[in-house]
Formats: sequence, C-alpha cells, structure tokens
Amino acid sequence: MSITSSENRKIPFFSAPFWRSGFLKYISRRLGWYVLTLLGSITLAFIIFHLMPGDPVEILLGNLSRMEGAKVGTQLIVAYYRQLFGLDRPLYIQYLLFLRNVIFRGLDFGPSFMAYPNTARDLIFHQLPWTLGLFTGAMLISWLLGTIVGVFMGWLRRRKLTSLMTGITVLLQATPNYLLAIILIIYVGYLLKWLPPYGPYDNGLQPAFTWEFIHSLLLHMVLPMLSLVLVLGAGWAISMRSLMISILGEDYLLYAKARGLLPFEILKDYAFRNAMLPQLAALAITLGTTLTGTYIIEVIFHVPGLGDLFIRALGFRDYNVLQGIVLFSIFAVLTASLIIDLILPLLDPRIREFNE
Amino acid sequence: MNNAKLISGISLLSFLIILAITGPEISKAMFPNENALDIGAYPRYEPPSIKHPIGTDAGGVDAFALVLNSIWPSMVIGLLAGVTATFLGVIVGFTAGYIGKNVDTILRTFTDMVLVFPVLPLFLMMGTYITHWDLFKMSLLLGVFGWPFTARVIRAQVLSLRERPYIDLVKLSGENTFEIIFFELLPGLLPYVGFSLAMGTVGAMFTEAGLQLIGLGAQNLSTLGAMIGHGLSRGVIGIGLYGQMVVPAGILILLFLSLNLINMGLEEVFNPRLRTKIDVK
Amino acid sequence: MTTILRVRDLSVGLTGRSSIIQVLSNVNLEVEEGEILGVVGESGCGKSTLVVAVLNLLELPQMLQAGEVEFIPADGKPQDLLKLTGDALRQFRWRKMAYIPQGSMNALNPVLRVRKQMIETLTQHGMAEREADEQVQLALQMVHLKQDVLDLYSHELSGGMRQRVIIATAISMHPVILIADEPTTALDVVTQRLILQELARICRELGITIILVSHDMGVMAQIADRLAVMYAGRIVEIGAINEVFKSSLHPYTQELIASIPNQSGEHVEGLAGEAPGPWNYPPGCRFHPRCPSVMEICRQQVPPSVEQRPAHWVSCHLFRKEEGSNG
Repeated sequence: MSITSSENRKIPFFSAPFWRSGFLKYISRRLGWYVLTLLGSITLAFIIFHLMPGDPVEILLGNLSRMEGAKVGTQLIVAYYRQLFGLDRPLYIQYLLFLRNVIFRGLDFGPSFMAYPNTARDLIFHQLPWTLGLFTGAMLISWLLGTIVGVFMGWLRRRKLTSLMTGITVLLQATPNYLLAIILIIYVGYLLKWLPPYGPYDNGLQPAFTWEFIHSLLLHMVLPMLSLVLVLGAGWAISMRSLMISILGEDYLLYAKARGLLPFEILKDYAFRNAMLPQLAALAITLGTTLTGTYIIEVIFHVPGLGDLFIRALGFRDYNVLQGIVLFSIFAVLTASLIIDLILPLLDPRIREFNE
Repeated sequence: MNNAKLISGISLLSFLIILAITGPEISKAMFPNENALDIGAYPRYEPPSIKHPIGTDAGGVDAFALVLNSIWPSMVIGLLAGVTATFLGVIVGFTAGYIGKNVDTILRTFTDMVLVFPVLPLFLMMGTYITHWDLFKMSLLLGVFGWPFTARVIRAQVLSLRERPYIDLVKLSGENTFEIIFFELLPGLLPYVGFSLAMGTVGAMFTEAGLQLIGLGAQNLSTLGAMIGHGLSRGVIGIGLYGQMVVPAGILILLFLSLNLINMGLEEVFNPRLRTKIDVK
Repeated sequence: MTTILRVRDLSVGLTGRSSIIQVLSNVNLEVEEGEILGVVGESGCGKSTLVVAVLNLLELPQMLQAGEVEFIPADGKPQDLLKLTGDALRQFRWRKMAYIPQGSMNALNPVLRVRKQMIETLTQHGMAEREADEQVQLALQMVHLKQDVLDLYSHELSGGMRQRVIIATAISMHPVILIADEPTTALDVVTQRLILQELARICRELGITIILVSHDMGVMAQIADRLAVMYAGRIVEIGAINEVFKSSLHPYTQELIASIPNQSGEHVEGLAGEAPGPWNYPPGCRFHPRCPSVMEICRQQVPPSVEQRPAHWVSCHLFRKEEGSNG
C-alpha cells in the first residue's frame, strides 16, 4: 500500500475529524469575542457621544435657524427626534432605542443636521466606498508588498543592496504618512506635474463605468495610495526582515540546510511560512491605526470618504453622522480582524489544537 | 553597547534635545533686543534672507525663531504622552499577565475594545469639549489612546517570563511577591518598556502634528506640527517659502528617525540573533 | 580498516569587533569505515562547533580559519568538503553525509507534516516520488515507528518519536557517514539507551559510519568503538574505547572517567575549577590550570600529539616523542 493513497493524505476539510479537532471551538469562541467587542465598542462610543456638551436639539435649532425654510423644518425635526430617540427619557432607554435603530432598523442613525433632510446613513453610505477602497487597498497592498520586500531583505541580509534598502525603509517608516503626502503633492503634483495632486477624479466628470472616468480615477488615486502604502509597507518590510532574521537562527533552518534541501524551497517552506505567521497576526493589531491614517490622507487629498465627512460633520456638530462614522470604523476594523483570526489556524497547525 | 544603530540614534536624539532646549536662547541671540515671536514684529511673508533664514510667516513672525521655539513643545508632548501610555500599558499588561485567568480575560477584552476604537475621530470629538489646550491636556489625551499597544506587548512578555523555570526557583527560595515582581520580572521587561516608550512618543508626536495639519489641533500651542499645518493651509509653498514647511518637517522626521534607530538598535542588542558580530573587547 | 574521513588541522574562530576568538585549534581526526567514533567533552569545549564545521555549515560570526575535511570514498578521489560549494555541496549533503542535530526537539519545521519533510529530503536530491515513498516507509520501519506518524505535525509527537523520525530521516538515503550531535540529551535514561542501541544496530546493518558527539561518557561506553576526548577546542586523547577507559593517558581523561558514578557507590571525584570558554583559553596546554600533574612546560607550549601506544594518541607533555623510547 503506497503511503500516498488518499486515506493517508491531509484530513479533508469537510470530514468529521477536522471539525471535532477544536477548530470549531476556536471559531465559536472567536465569533463570541467579535460580537462582545462590537457591542462593547458601540456602547463606549454611545457613552462618549452623550457625554458631550450641548443639547443636539438646541444646536440643531441653532443651525437650522440660519438656513432657509427653518420654521417648518424645526417643528418636524423636533417631533421626529422626540419620538425616535426619546431624548427626554433616561439614558439607558436612549441607549436601547439607539441599539434598536442601529441593529434592527437597518443602521438608522437618524437625520443629518447639516444636510437635512438627508439621513446620516445616506451621507455615510455615499462616502463609504472611497474609504473602503483606500483602506482595503492600502492595507492589503502595503502588507503584501512590504512582507515580500522584507523576506528578501532578511534572506539576503549581507548584500550591499539590501543594506541600502534597509536604510531607505527605516527612513520611510519614520516619516508620518501625511508628510509624505505633502512631499508627493508638492513634487509629483505641482512641480513635476506627473499626477494630479488632489481630488478623487477630474472636475466635471461623473462617476460611471466609462474608461474616461476610470482612467481619471486611477490617476487621482495614485498619490493617496502611495502616501499610505509606502509608509505602511516600509513598516511591514522592516518587521518581516526582523522575523526572517530570527527564524534564520532556528534549529529547523539549520537542519533543513544540513539536509541539502534546495535553497528556494528552504526560503519558501521553512523561513517564509513560519515568519509569516506573526506578521499576519500583527496585521490585525494595526488595522485601527491604518484606518486612522486613511482618514487623514482623505482630508489632505480631498477624497470624499468618511474622514472628509467626519471633519465636515464636526464643524456642524452633526452628531448622528459622527456617531455613524465611528460605528462604521469599529465595524470595519473588527471584521477585518476577525477574518485574519480565522485564517491563522488554517496556516498554523499549532493553533488548531490549543484551547487557550 | 557598540551597536551602530543605537549609537547614531542616541547621538541624533541628543543633538535634537540640545537643540530643543537651547532653541529659545539661540533665537534670542539671533535677534537681540527684538522679540522675533511677536505677531507683526516683521513684515509678513518676507522671503528668506540673512536676517530671516527662512523668511517670515503670515503673522509677521520670523519663521526660524518659531522653529527653534517649537521643538521643545513638540518633544514634551511626545514624551509626556509616551510616558502616560507606557505607564498605563505596563500596569494593565502586567496585571493581566501576572494574575491571569479571569482578570486577564477581562483586561484583554477591554484592551482589544480600545485598540479597535478609531482613535482619531474620538480625539477630534474630545477636541470639541476642550476650548483651551495646554501641553498637559494634549499629552494626557494622546497618552490615553496609546496604551493598548504597550499593554499587549507587556502582557505577552510577562506571560512568557512567568513560565520560565527560574521564577519557580525564586519562589521556592522564599522571595515574596513584591520582590519577585521588582527584582526578577521587571528587569526582563525593561527592553519592552523602553521600546513602548519610544514608540508611544513617536506615535504621539505623529498624531499631534497630524491634527495640526488638518487644522483641528490645539490652536494655541506652538509645535512643529502647527507650523507645518499653518504652512499648508496658508499655502506658503505657492509663495516660494518652502523653508517654512521643510525645516519643521525635517526636524520632525529626524526626531522620528532617531527614535526608530534607537528602537532597532535596542532590538538588536536584546536579540542576539540579529547581530552579525560578537561583542568582544 | 580504511579511513573514509580525515579532518586535518581544523581551526575555527569567532569574529569579534576587532579580534578573533579561537574556538577550535588544529583538530585532527581520522574516521575508519564502519566504526562508531565517539567525541566526548564538556559543554562548551567546541564539540558542536566541530560538527558544524565538518558539515560546512559555519555561519557568521563563526569563521573557518584553516584546515581540511577530506572525504575518501571507496570509489573515487578524495575531496575536501570545505571546498565544496553550491549545488555540488547540496547534492553531497545527506547522500553521503547525514546529520542528527543537537536540538532534535526543534529540528522539524512546525508548520509542515512529517511526511512532507521526510519525502522532500529525498525528492530534492533527485529521487522519484514513488521511490521516495518506499524509502521513507522502510526507514520508519527500521526505527519501529508506525506509518501514521507521517500525517502528524512536529508538536504532536513525543520526544522519543521525534528523535526516531530524525534518525529515520538520517538513514533514509543510506549515507556513508552519519554525524550525531548529542542524540539523546533531551530523553529519559531508558529511552536513551534504547535509541542508542537502535542507532548502533541500524548503522551496522546498513554499513553506516557514525561520529557520535556527546558529553556523556556513559553513552560512549555503550556503543562507541573508538573515543576522542576534547577539551577547550583541542583533541587531547584518541584511541580504542577500552584502552581509553581502562588505561587512559591524559590527566583530563582520567578525571572524566573517575567522575562517572559506578554501581558500587564509591566516592565520586569531581574536577576542581571550570573548563575555560573560548574567550579565556589559557596559553600552552589549555588544561594546565586544572591539571594535577602540571609542569612548567605546560604553561608555555602546546603539547604535540604523540602515538604513545599503537593507535592511541595523546596530547600531553607527560608523554614526549623521544627517539627510540616508547611505551
């Protein structure tokens, strides 16, 4: 009987042993944590928002009275609010109503103050795609690129070229992304005029699936993406380099070399596959800062994403919008973190067993 | 301690600290009998000259003097925030790691919740409360958001140190808990504490400068970030006064760079595998 | 008996900032075909460095200063292993010279299954997958392990099982020489004995020569044919095992043997002081500070290696190469 027959191959995904092996426990525990943290953060956000000075309704009235059509709108809004949010009811009831609206009434954050009669949700959804695009793109591209560069920086440690690259990445990592953004804007945008320095796409174009629009979109997005990816990627490269170097000192690496394995195979299966695990875990931790960075870049480049919306809403004290954005941020970060945590056991067999 | 990165990092940092402290004196020496920092002291937007090395800004203030006076506030904010974040992080992380079990689970979940929270929006909102900023308030606020990273790292380290056999030996030899904490565990944590401090300081300076940039920082504090932010919003580049943004930005970058070098150097010192030469007299 | 490996004047150092620390100095060894040669010495005497040097696996800050490792195959020309590079070196490894590492607990890649690691060792040397399958099966049988082991990961194996997997991998290509560095350190005494006996048995069956490195004299006594004693980076005595045990020549060897507890419960003697590390090797004979028979010349000159009895060499000033007088 050949030992490569299918009975002795890897335990297939849908077979009983796999699911009983503790993986299921891990998933359910992880999902539980996810829900708990989500609720906890939302509650935290709620508390902070309601500690803020200023009665939203008063501010709303104040804002509206400066705008046209205030008289009729005022009555309607105040009534709407009282009914929906129970602003004169005790705080815990407001909290429950808030949860109800968010969870069960399809993310109803209430009306937006500054753009009444649009709801906060409308505003957020309208600007969400830009943030999602920048965030996911920056996160993935910087991690992948940075990790791969880091692999080579660590593996080919003694060459002059990698020393040079190490120096460059250290410098890049030390630069805050907004500074890099400004430098890029000045040099590439204004002086060299290679790429447009701000805006999501050329003025006068409408979003559509035309080549003209997409082309303009891509050009405009290069600098913002670069600002994020270069700084983040440099960080990942350095971290991967350190990981590779410490893995290179491991016993199993020496043993693999002693066995006369092909160098590329050693790099791939012994060094990289092991170093990648803590690197992936680290990705989950940095998601929050990545998102914050995305917001800052949006503001600098005038990209109409959530960061930009937040600043505008802040000026108007539009609490509903502000709350909605914070909630979305939490949700985005937690979800991405969950995905990573679910991928990890598939890559690291040691995690599958442990019930921590 | 002959590590190249560590040495260059420390030298650079020392130089910058000296510059920060002596900055105000230097600026006074450059402009004797005048207060270069008064609004309207000089004509606005003067181009660079011998008297005004990088010109004057929108308020008629000499930009070079402003830079010299802004380094120290930036550093103080960074340092205070870093210390706050590290302090809180060490307490939380150590407690979680040392006591373990339920306390650990609760603290860990709490840490994760804060970690996940988008710091910037929250910070901006808090900004709407506080109308008058000072160095302390800014630093404390920044520090309060930096502790989760430290807590995680310290907790992981405490957990691994706790399991080492020498701790059991020490317990058997009769040291009480207090002594164990201070003499056995803390020394092992020092590199990580140092690392967190450096990272926290850098992070705080980043964030503060970033806020200034978007125009939502503390308006009455003069920091390097404020200069950059004002430069951006008032379009000094268009007028050709590059220096007013490049110089403060450059100093910030050097500050970050020095701290990063120190970090990398510390990592190499404490993780012998990263070294390529043996430490020999 | 034919010599199949000859280590000549091997010296290895560690690069410091401005100086080089000597670790191994002028090590000479000859390994006979089919024998089990033991290399014994205290922790820190350089045994593992010797192993790594012979395998041509030195990495910075370790540095080869001088010497050759001559491999003399039955059919063909001798080659200096330290001069092999690239693919020639890679192909030589494992086919001709296999290795059982000191840290066998951590020698296996934690994220790969045993099967992949064992089979790829063979296939990456050009063996077909089918044949590799068979060889791996046979190897596992020889170490008395079930085929189930192949599907497991390293952390799912016990210490003894891991050790057997390592041994199986080592013999799977039927190498000419097998270098075992402390193969039993992390195991309990019972398992130790079993593993050693199996190792000796397998290698006699397959005709593999073993170089066994350990600090444990008991291990040597069990299976070694000849013994080389190492101290502070030098070989101080080498000879047939019975001779070295019963009529040891070098003072250090005598102390080592005296320190083995024996069954009659006699008082065990220890040796005063500590073995020096590479950064403070004494001049002259490196053992002189602790030697009960130390003489003035010992402090100044390194003693030459002398064949005091047939095939029994010792490096000590007590034994001088004098013309015409021996024994």
